[in-house]
Order: sequence, then structure tokens, then C-alpha cells
Amino acid sequence: MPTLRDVNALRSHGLIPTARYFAAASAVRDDRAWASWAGRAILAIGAAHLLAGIVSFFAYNWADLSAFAKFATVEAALVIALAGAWYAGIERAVGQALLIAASILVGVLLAVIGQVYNTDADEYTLFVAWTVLILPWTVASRSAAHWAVWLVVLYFALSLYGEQVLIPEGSLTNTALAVGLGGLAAVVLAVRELAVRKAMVWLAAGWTRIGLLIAMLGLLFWPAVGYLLDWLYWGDGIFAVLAFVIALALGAVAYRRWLPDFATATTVVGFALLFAIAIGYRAIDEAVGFDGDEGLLVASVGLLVLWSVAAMGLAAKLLQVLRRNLEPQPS
Amino acid sequence: MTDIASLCARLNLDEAAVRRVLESESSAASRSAPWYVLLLLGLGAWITALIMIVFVAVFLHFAFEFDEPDLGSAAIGAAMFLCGLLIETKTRASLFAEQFAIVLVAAGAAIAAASIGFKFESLWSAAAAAAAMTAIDIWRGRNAQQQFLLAALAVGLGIAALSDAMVAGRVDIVALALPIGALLYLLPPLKEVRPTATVLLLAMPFYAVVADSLYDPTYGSASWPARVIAMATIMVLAWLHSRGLAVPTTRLRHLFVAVVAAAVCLLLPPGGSAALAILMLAFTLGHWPLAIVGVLLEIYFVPRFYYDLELSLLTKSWILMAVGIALLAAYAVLRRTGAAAP
Repeated sequence: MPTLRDVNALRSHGLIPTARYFAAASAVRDDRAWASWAGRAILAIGAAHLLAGIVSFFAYNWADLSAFAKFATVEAALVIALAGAWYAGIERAVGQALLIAASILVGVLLAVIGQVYNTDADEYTLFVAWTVLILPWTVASRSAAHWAVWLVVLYFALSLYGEQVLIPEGSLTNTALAVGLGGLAAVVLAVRELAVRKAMVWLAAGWTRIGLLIAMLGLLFWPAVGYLLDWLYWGDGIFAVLAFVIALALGAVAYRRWLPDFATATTVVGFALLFAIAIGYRAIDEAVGFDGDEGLLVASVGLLVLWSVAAMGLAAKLLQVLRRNLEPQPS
Repeated sequence: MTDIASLCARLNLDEAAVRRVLESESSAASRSAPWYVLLLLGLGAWITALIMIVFVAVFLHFAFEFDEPDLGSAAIGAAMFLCGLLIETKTRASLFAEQFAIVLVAAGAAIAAASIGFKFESLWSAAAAAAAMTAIDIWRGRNAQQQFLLAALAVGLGIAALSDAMVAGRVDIVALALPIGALLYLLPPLKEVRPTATVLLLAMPFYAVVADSLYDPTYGSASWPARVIAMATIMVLAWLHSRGLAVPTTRLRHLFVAVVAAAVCLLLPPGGSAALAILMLAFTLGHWPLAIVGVLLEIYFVPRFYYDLELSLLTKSWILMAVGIALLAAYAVLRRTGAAAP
């Protein structure tokens, strides 16, 4: 089937006149996919508005509500969301959206408990309880969006537990926490790939793979580059650099050899390019220095220009080779 | 969707020629790179161009004691720009040379335009210089990310000049870039201009993001012409789309959704309205990258709109709930008529 890209190629060769370009683009448009996308977008925006409206309403009246009224309103909303999900069926988009709303309301309920009973507990306890309580619904939903919400809550639970308990008591360093969270994203990505191989098609959407890969590399990238560029003064920051390099290598091998995917491999190359520029900066800073005399400064910046251009050229070459090998050829 | 034979029959195209072109395009080397590759290489070129600009500034300062950009530095920028174009002409196979040339062209254009702006103390002259270099690049038509960088420089300097001159209704003037960008997407000339069209589409949303957060919020009751421009763009796109639909009820349904979207333009700030028009263009053309950009922009503009409303939290909550219920009702109607996914 021809695509919009083919139509653009035909236009650039002059085979489609300007006046007929739109008709050609309309002819190759996947109407079903776009209708489905538009419907889901309206559903998501509508649900988000309604939920935000309810939260704002109670936020406005919060101080005047009795403890009973506070619990009753949040729990009523929770029950309505659950009943709606059950009625609509969790295999449908609307049922899944309602179940996600119920999961978010559990977090609101826990916050209300903390406020009414003035528990003085650390924030991490709320997120840990939230993570545990909504796990059964997340498993039952068979929805990638619900899993994404659960993973965000889990991320906050673990990072707050690390920052509020483990780091202050000396059981963990900042680097270890950052590496651990990045490693967790890597494990989740691996589980996602295995699940898709086991025919869990609801996890197969491309955004789940790219999203997890960006989370994994992003979580490891900042501490690694922060250490390289002296933004972070973590004594063991070199381990963040090592972890990032290992993650890059694993990503490259996985999406080049085991699960060939050009878009995902491009993401890996992108992170590698930015990391290479940062390494070049650090190496030139160590070898020549950016704060020496005038001649050395000109030489350092000049070297950095050459290094960056070389890194970009190498990235472009890599992408060219990867594209030839990985991208499906049009029929 | 359709196959090649049907496409050719419908548009009265020479099928043999079409197949020949698509086969020649199918080799990876000659096909245009996907948008995310262009985005990545564009980002790399932008970072490297910034480093190169620093290098030129440091070099000129220490070697020639240039303390302020002037015609001399403009000449150096122009020489870098021409040198980059020359490298692109001479070396077709080397990717390193290609990337080096892109960086040289982008950095050269920025140095030349900024120097002219400094010399004549006018951002308009800087924008004009950048626009001239963009026109040269479009005429040569060598590289999409290079054209995007140059067009972004020209449009950015043009908007900065408008803001600097405190021109009345500058938001509305910037909003005019939206229909021009949409038109270039819908009626593309033979020369590749989509990178420039993308910059024009993004001009209003990015101006709003920068202006809102810096000095001159674009929300509020002003800027009605900008909203009307976005609304008109959406209506024209919806009309174009509905013209191609065979079933009258489907046509009516699409027009209804478009009218609702256009009405929302009157509520949202101009940046949000422009982002809505970008979403409509993506929907009409079947263009996923534009859809992703539109969604990301709306994720910024919609919460920002509610946050900035000068109303009590209670009134905001009623508005939010009413809009939410209306949208969910619209979804239910679309579901019943079979237009949306279950």
C-alpha cells in the first residue's frame, strides 16, 4: 500500500500536480486508524477534564468539608468509577479509562487519610501503599496505559523511599539510586519484550517500547552526563557512567540483533550521540582545558567543534547502515 | 487506503512512471529519512552549530580583537555559509562532510544574520538576512534539517523584531504564519518546503510558549484575530476533508466535530488554537509526526489555559466538568455511529 511518504516522493518527481496532491494524500490515508485515534483522543481529553473538574471542586470546598464528607466524596467517586468500568467492560477503551481513574482516586483517598488523621508519615508510604493497592486492577486491566500509570507511581514510591530513608541512613548513594531506577526500567523493558513474545498483543504498541527505552536511558543519562560535566558532585558517579554505557550497549544489541527495530535503534544512537559530545567535552577539558590562556581556549573550543561534527557524522553513518538493515523495504 | 493501481486510476497518473519512481525511492539510500532521524540529526546539528558559533566568537575576539559583531564578522558568517553549501555540492558520498556542511551553514547563517543585526542595530535586517539565506537553501533543496534550522532562525528573528518594535497586534501577525504553513503542506510546490512549512506552523505555539513564560502573555481577552485565523484554518481543513467523504452522514459528523473544534479556538489562547489547527492538519493529511507535535503542544496549552483563567477555583471546576461531560457525550455519539474505536 502506498503511504504519504510515497505521495511526497511522487510529488517531488512532478508526477502528482500540486492541485491533486491533497486528493492523493487523502487516498492513501488510513481512515480507520485516524477515526480510532480521534475517538480515543476525545475520550482521554474528556475523562481528564471531568476528573480535573471533580478534583478542583473538592479542592475549593475542602476546608469546609467534614472528615466524613471528604471520605464519602472520594470513595463515592471511586465506587462510581469501578462500577462504570465493570459495566462498560475492561476490554473496552472506556472501561479501561474508568479503571485508570479509579486507580488515581486511590491515591487521592490515601492523601485524604494522611490529611484527616495527620499521620505525619513520609510521602513514600503513600506511594508504596498506592502501588500495592492498585496492582491487582493494573494486572486485570490488560491495558498498556494503566501499566504506564502504575510504573510512574512505582517510580515515585522507590525514588522517595531511596531519598527519604535509604540515602539519609547511608544504605544507598545517590548514584546507586539513579542506577537502580534506570536498571528497573531496563527490567520492565525486558519483561515487556518477553510478554509481547508470549502473544500479549495489548502490550505490543510501539510507544510502550520507545517509552520504556527512553525512561531507561534518560534515567541513566542525566547522572552520567552530570558526572562527566561536573554538574553533580557524586563521588561514585563513575558507576553511573558505566551503567549508562552498559545500557546503551544492551539497547544497541537488543534492537539491532535480537529484536530489529529501526525507530528504537535510532533512539539508542541519539543518546549515544549526546553522550559522545559530553565525553568529548570532558576529555578536551582534562587534556587542554577551557579556562587556560587565550590560545588554549581557542584550541579547546575548536577541538570540541571537530569532535562534535565527527560524532554527528558517525551517528548519521550508523543510522544509514541501520536503516538499510532494519527498515522494511517498501513493496 | 488504496493500492498503487487504484491510486493511479483515481488520480489519472501514469502507473508505469509511478512504479518506477517508487522502486527507485525504495532503495534505502535514496529514500528520505524518517522524521525522527531528521529530528535527531537536526538536534545534533543545532548543538554543534552553537559550539561553532562560540568558537568563531572566541577566535575573532582573541585573534582579531573583535569585541562586537560587525560587517567583518558578517562576512565571515557569509563565507562559512557559502563554504558549507560548496562542501554539499562537492561531496555527495561523505556523511561526515555532509554533517560538517550542515553545521557550517547553520552557524554561518546565525553569525552573519546576528552581525548584520548588531551593525545596523535592527533585528529586521537580521531577519531579512536570515530569510535570504533560507531562500537560497530552499532553491538548492539539499537537506531537510538544514532548511528547518535556517527557517527557524529567520522566523525566530522576525518574531523577535516584531516584539522589539512593540508592533500592535503582533500576536495576530505571527498567527498569519499558521495558514501559510498549512497551505504549503496542502499545496506543496516542486521544491521541498515542508521544513519551512513546519517552522511556520510552529511559529505561533512557540511564540506563545516563550512570550507567556517571559514577558508578554498571549492569553486573556485580546488576540481575537489570532484565534479567528486558527478557527478559519480548522474550518477550511474540515471542509477539504469532508469534500472527499462519500457518505453524507459521515460528512456531517466530521463537519460537526470541526465546528466544535473551531468553537474551542475562541476559548483557548492563540497558541493552543494554533496547536488545534496543527492537529486538524495532521488528521486531514494523515500525518502522524504533526499529530504527535500537536498533542504535545496541547498538553502544555490546555492546563495552562485553566491555570491562567482569572476565575475562582469553583467556577473553573464547573467549566472543567461541563467540557468533560460534553466531550464524553461526543465520544458516545461517535461510538454509536461507529466512528470511534470501542
